Amino acid sequence: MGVMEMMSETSAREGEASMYEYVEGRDFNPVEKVILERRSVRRYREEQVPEGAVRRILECGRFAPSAGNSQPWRFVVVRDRKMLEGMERAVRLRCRVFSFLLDWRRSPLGRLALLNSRLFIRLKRNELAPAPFASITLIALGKLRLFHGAPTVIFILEDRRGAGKPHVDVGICGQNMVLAAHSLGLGTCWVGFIELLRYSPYWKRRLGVRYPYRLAEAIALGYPVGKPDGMVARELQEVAWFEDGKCRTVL
Amino acid sequence: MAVRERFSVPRYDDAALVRTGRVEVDEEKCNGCGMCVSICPGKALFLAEAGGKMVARMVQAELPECVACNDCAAACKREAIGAVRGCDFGMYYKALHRGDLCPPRRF
Ligand code: SF4
Ligand code: SF4
Repeated sequence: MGVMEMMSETSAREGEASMYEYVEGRDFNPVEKVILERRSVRRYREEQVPEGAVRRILECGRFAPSAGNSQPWRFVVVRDRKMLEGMERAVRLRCRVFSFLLDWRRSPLGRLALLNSRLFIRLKRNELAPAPFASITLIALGKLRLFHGAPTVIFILEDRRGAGKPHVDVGICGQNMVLAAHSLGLGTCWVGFIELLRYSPYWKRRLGVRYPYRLAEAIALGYPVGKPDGMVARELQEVAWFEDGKCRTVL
Repeated sequence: MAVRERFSVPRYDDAALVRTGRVEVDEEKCNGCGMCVSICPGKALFLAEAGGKMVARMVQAELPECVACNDCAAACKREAIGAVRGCDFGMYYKALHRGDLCPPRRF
């Protein structure tokens, strides 16, 4: 008997519809709740996460779907405070340099920084979009911490030889882990700024980032301070919906 | 998207083009615990004195970095804060095919 049959049989015995069933207007099921209530956590308790919990989260990453089942990832777990602080310092130093070169609001370069920003934003439209641009200065000033004090960080290295679009597969794999972590009562935050460690030969060597691997993302992991999770309002997305030879917009 | 928009990057402190997120604080409910201030990814909040107590407020900068993530709303124990406007950075970064802020719906 398959897992699905077992589950539906149990719930049938309990006299309620299975979780694996769509019932109109029904309350969110546990999986939907995990997805909808999970927020990015940026304040962590000192307490370390049990090793078993991290292993369990990595298991969920291991079973993520990937193009051609190529599994184009490698995980690096860092639970060493000294190392995490070292990486934070390295990223902060680089943010200070970028902030000096680009942030016309603060840089002593003034107008030259404005011209720099106009040029570099055009060259790096994603990396220097408004939000990360502002974060560079916040990190440089020490107002925003890279790992937010998380005691464990999972780095995802992308195997560039992966089938199809390995960067997408890395995202899918990471989100599996993030949701699994949330379901275990842990907080997570995606840390894209570890990107700046690419400019550090020392940290690349220490983390084993060499061909075919590329530093893709990091996930900060730990017990949150307070209760940061919950459902919130978000922008609706306009969906183009084709059906019966017609197209309509669904919001 | 117009060609002109596609090829122009807004000045991030140009209030005429850039619309950052905005939160509203219910100062009656807010007790100034500072949780939202400490977790805001854009550091767009601070505590200010109002009516003899501390309350959360939005930073009045040329570029308040609120991205309307609503992490503050989720973390606040008193339901005193929440985003009332999403962000749209304009020109090259113009938000497309978006509606108003809305909580999860059950269909
Ligand atoms: S978390 Fe809520 S109560 Fe605390 S300062 Fe922020 S708005 Fe006020
Ligand atoms: S919505 Fe997000 S970015 Fe805006 S003030 Fe709240 S926590 Fe900060």
